This record gives sequence, structure tokens and C-alpha cells, in this order.
Amino acid sequence: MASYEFLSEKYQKIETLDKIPTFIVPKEDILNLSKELKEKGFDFLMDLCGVDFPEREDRFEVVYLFFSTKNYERVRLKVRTKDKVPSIVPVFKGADWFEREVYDMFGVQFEGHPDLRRILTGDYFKGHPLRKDYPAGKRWPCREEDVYRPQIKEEQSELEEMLINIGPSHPSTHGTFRLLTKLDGEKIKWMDAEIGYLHRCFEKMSETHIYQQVIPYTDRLNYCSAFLNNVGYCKAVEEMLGIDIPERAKLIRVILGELSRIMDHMVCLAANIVDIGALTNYWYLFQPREEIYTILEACCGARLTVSYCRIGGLSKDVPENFKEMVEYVLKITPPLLADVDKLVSKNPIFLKRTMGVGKISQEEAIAYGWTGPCLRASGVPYDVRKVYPYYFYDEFEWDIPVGTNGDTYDRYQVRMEEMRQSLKIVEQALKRLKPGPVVVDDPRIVLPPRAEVYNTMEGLIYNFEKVMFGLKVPKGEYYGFTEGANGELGFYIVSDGGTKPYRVRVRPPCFAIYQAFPKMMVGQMVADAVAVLGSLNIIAGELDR
Amino acid sequence: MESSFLTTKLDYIARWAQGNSLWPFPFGTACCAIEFMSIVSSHYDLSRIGAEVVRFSPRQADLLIVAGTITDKMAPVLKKIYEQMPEPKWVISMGVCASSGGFYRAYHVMQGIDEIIPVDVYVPGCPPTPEGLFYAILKLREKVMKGGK
Amino acid sequence: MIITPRPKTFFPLSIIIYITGHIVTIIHFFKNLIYRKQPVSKIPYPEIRRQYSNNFRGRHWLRRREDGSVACVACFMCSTNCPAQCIHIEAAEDLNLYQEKYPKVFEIDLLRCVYCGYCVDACPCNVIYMTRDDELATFTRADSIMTLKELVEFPERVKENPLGWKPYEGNLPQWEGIQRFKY
Repeated sequence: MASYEFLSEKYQKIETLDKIPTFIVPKEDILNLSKELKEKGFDFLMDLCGVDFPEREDRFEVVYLFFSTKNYERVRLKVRTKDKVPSIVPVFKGADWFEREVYDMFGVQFEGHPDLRRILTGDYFKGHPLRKDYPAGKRWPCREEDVYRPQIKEEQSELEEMLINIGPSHPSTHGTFRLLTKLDGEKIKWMDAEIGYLHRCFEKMSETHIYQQVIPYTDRLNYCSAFLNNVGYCKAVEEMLGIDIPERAKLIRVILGELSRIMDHMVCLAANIVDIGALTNYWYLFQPREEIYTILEACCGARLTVSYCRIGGLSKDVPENFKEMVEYVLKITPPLLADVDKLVSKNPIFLKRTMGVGKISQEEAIAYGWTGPCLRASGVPYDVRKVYPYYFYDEFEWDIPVGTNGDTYDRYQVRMEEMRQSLKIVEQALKRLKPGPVVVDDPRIVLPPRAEVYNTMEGLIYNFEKVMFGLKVPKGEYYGFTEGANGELGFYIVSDGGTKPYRVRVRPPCFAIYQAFPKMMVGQMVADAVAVLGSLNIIAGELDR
Repeated sequence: MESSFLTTKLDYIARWAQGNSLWPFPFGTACCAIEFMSIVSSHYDLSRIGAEVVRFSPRQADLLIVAGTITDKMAPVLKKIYEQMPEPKWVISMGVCASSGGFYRAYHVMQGIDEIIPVDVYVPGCPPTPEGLFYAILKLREKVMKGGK
Repeated sequence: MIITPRPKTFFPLSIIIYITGHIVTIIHFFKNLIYRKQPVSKIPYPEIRRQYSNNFRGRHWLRRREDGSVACVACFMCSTNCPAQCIHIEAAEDLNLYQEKYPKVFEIDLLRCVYCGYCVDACPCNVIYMTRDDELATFTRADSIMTLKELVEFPERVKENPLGWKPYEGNLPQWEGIQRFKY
């Protein structure tokens, strides 16, 4: 008997497309239920988001997705409300920023939340943008006096305390986030993070575009590994439609996806090591990255923002010399990784800067909702590719690297090992690659072949219909998830049966990781903050969407 | 007449010097910042045209390269950084998001940084290739040497 | 599951690590100096350009008919499929020669375009293509709007082999009797 069964005795269970057991619960019960679920083993809050249905009386739906790291079960709870919901921050620490985001985007008040204020936008912003009646283009100017300034109470101290801003434009943040720190000498006494400097309204934009047109937007989420976002979104929509893409398309997705993962880890490691002071590795790591860019550019014509996937496969077949190009990357990458290993892994300076710095225990990491390499560095072997295998990942031979201490050094080692494992996967996938179609042969889902469009009436009509109206996705909701470079990248898509998504919610892995960062750094040195921030690999595009 | 000859010569030398030593301040926010990395690294090597010293302090730079989407929340920051730069200063708007908002016709994205600061060169592309940006910098250098503001 | 290695923090012989590091960099230096099968990756830009592939997504180009008129029939498919809504078309009727609609105004705002190639995929008449031109910087925003006159010409810089992203071919390899366009 599954551990969520006690819910079905009391509450109404509803059918969803993704087969995750879903219950509608009254809002008074949510705090107790989350406590009970936590005791039953659902120790991980995967996602918390809102959906707006303006025609209902209780117009907002707050969706909680719980996950168990013991037996990998998922359960979803839904709370319908007009304005207020009890906060579950006392039970799940990781709910903190997620609830603030729902408050910011929908205006749902979370009672009992310790610090409920806007997160992605600021106080200058009037209204709640993700409500259906908010026009997509309505802007509010932010002036100098609207910049967030925290109210900090003065404390008596022997040393002079200093409040400094790190960011939003700071070379060590590799993006745009602002850290407010109160320093006592070199020690951080208090820290707060302010995000939203790159909030590009992905979720609102995807509501105003048809399903295919969302793909270019997903590129710009985690721009270091754009292809993985493409795969995540397309896979979710394909599973909603219930189609199976050809084997060749799957294998190409695996190959390019793993290469993108290598690229992302390379950017992360290179930037992290440069911040600590070792420049040489930067050049060694960027050399294969440039080669991977060349492959991506040869396949789809853009180096960074690829837009290569389509719903139903890929936009085009790979070029003829694809195999040689990938083999070249497979040849040059391992020696360069070995060189970096020789330079850094045992270097006493590097060890001093990273060992025991930014340590997070297994329980803490789970409580904050960490996924991906950062969670694995703490010792939890959770990887979507192993636990919920997709695209032949269960048929390839590879291992999950796991750290022991969860500090910066372990995160470095886990990323290094993951790159080697990814190379292994690419090698095996390349062997299996056989000629064949790369898109499904269904004119309702993909654009018909050009030859048909130019020469036959049916082809022209399908092309016209597909472009003008888009594809229809069955009504329902779906949470599709893949392993992104930073962790579980989830797309929660609510469809009303039309051609535009009713709601697209991204579960950004960075968001959960970054909310723990200010709390981790209290009591540490300010110079270590830079080293830890680099090792967490926070990508602003994904953090703020 | 002599004095004006001298000032024009001095002016010419100053412009020549300015054009050959543009010090960029990369205001990188998003995807374009990743492409900016490749133009300063060894493949393209921006230092060949004198733009060698990438400064992270606006007070030491005279070329502001805005690489990436500027949101409304970021606008006061960008304006402040622009004001902190010493005269003469130039601005390159890299990528479509910075230039016009791109395909983010949305509630939190600035529809082009020329809403708050003047822009000298716009670089289309999402993100522009390193060649595209290099071409823009060469174009700006020409303009600076000819005496454009 | 692999447990990642974790060296001990204290090294009495840490000098060896430093020496290994120096050897690595010195080997790289000599490899680049002597053994240059692949040229040391350096692109002195205005003289030498990187060769992008034949799929490159750059500035747009419109195909012309043999008599020189633009082959577009102003069906608005490209502007509908464009996520950035950067294509502006005004249609007019051509009563003389082809008895078809034609675009009186066809403008692409290069500062809105995100170069995704969706317009190329949507075109039912095989007209819009993307070229390999990527040097598009302008001094003003108005300059970046491409008009019909500019769009039908190939950019000067990429005259030989100008085309980049081409329409998506689909699953069928080749059709019997399909009319292929030659450039």
C-alpha cells in the first residue's frame, strides 16, 4: 500500500494526464497534511505553484508536488482559494521562495510565512502579472527610489559592521543577482538575496504563444545548456499528446543533451575555478566547449540558443559529418579533463579554498529542495535519468557520481565525474545511431514535408492549419521532468484543450538551490561566498525565468 | 589660425587615442554575456584592437557593452552605471533583448535600453555571433576616430 | 554509484603537485608550438572569418522569380509563425502578370528577430530563407529595419554560398517529379 493512500479515504482524487495521484484538499488541512506526508516519507517538496481560473469562485489553485527520496513516489495536492492559504514553511523550509513567488505572481496570501514580500518583481509593481486578467505588456517603471533597501536593526558590536551589496552587476556573480550582506570584519553576519533582475516573464509569454512558439523561449532559460531545456519542454508536450518519437530523434537528443550537460558543467567549473584564482583551467575547459558549439551550430545554425527540438522530434536531421565531429569531441575532451584534474584536484591552495566550505548536509539539502549535482554531492544518489529512465538511459552503462560531504570540493568532483559519465553515454549512443526519420510522420503534430507542401493540396492545408492554428493538446495537466544540467527540470503544463498552453510552469532547479545560499553562508568568510556561489552554478535566466 | 590648427591636431590625436584604446565595461546579464566571453578569449581576442582591459568598474571604462535583457528592475542599476562612467563614453547594445526587448513583449522587460540611456551601436542577433559584435566594435571605433560623440 | 575521491588536506610533499602542474602547462605550450595539426585557434577577425555551417541562421533573404519580381505571395504565414512578431507585410493585388497577391511592403525588424528560423519553416512557397550574414550592426534603430529592396539581395559579404537555414525537408527523402529550385 502506497504511503499516500490515507489521502484517498478522505479527499477527492482526480485524474491527471501524468498519472501522479492528485487530491483536492481544503486549505485548512494543508499544513497538517504536509506534516503527515513528511512523516510518511514524502520529505521533499518538489514544486509549489499557482494556477489562475478566473471563472471559478475560488479562483486560485495552489499546487503542491511532494516527492519521496526513499521510494521515489510523487503525490500532488491542490488547494483552491480566493485569497489566503496557510503557509507550509514551518514544515518544508524549501517552500519559502516558492510561496513568495506565488504571492508575487498571483497575489495569494500565505498566512504564517516569515517574510512574505515580492520576489521576482518589486514594490514598484502594481498588480499580479500571472493572473489571467493582467495584460501581458503592462509595465511599471522602476526608478532609483524604488530599489529595494532592507530594514535592518542596528546591533551593538565591538567591531564596526558594514552593509555591502554584492551585485547586481558584479563580476563574480556571473549573472544578475544581488546579495545583501552584513559583515563583521570578514565574517558574514547576515545575508539576504534579492533576485528577479532577469525576470523575463517566461511563464506569461508562453501563455500568449502557441505550443511550438514556446520552444525558442525555453532556450533562454538555462542558456548554458539550451538544448536540455528544449528536450524537457518537448518531451512534456509529446507525452501529453501521447506520441512516441523515432529512435534516431531520441538518440540525437541524448547525444546533444549530454554534450550540452558537459558544456554547462564546463562553464560552471571554469568560472568557479577562475573565481578562486586558477586561470589556466579556464582555457583548457573552454576548448572542448567551443567544439561542442561548432557541432550545435552545424546541426541547427545557432551556437547558443539552439531551438533545435520540435514537438514530435527534431527540426532537421544532423549533418553528414556529425559522427566525426562528435568523435572528435570524444577524443579531445578526456585528456583536457585529465589535465584539469592534475592541475586542480590535489592542489593544496584549491583544497584549502574548497574543502569544508559551503558544506550542506543531506537532510538540509533535501529540506531546501536541492536536486542535481549539488544534491548528489551531499550523498543522495537521485538522478532522474536513473530513477525514471527516459530515452534509453536505462540501456546505457553509466554510474551516478556521489559525494560524501556536500562541500564545494565535492561539487567540483561530482561535476568532473559527471562529465566523464556523459562522455560514456555519448559514446554508446553514437554507436546505436542508425539512419532513419527524425520526426514523427503525423501532419497533425509536425509540419508536413516540404515536397508535399509545394506540390499537394493536403500538404498545403496541413501546413496552413499547423502554422495558423497550431496543434491541439488534450485537456488536462502534466508534469514532465528531465534531468537538466542543474537538477530536475520540470515543466508543469496545464492545457485547456486549445492551441495555446493555459499555464506553463517551470520548476527551475536553480531556484531551490539559491534560496538556501544566504542561509548557508551566515558565519562564513565573505571570500568563500564567491567560491560557493560559483560551485552552485546559478544561472540567472533559469533562476528568474 | 595657428591655434585652431593646433587644437584640431590635438583633437585628432585625442580621437585617435580614444578609438584605439576603448576600455569595455561588460554589463552582462544573460545569454549575450556568454557570447561576450568568447570575443575576449583567445579565439577572437579583442585586445588586438586595443580594447584589451575589460573593466568591471564603470569609473575606469569608456565603452559600455550592454549584453543581455534589461528588465525594469535592472533599469536604475544600468542608469547609475552609465552615469558613473567618465566622459567621453559610448554604448553598444548587444543583442535584440537589449536593443528592443526582442521577443519579450512582456510586463517586466525594458523595450530597448534607449529608453534610459543613449545608444551608439545596435547589434542584432540573439545572441550575436562574435563576428557580429566585433564588426560593431570596429564600426564604433571608426565613428570615434572620425569624431562622433 | 561512484563515490568521488577526496584527497587528504595535508600534503607534506605538496611541491610535487606544483611541479606536476607546471609540467602540464609546459607540455601544452610545446604541443601548441610544435605539433600544430589543428591550428591554434585564433581568428584575427576582419581578415579571417570563422566558416559557419550551411545551416547558419543569419539575416533573411527573399527568393525572386526569373523575371526579377519577388516570389512571395503575401500569405502572412511567416509573420504568423514568428514568435517575435517582427515581420510586417502589407499585401496588394497584382492584376497583370501572375494574378496573385504580392507584398507591397515587406519589412523585417532585425532588432526584434530572434533568428529562430520559424519563418523559413512556415513558408509554403519556398521564398524566405536565411543567409549566413551576421554582421548587421547599425547606428540607429530605424536602420535595422530591412525593407523589401534589401531583402531580395544577397548580402555582399557572403556572395559565394550565401544561404544558411533552409526549409525543413521532412521525412520524405525526395519526391518524384518535384520541382527543385536552383540558385
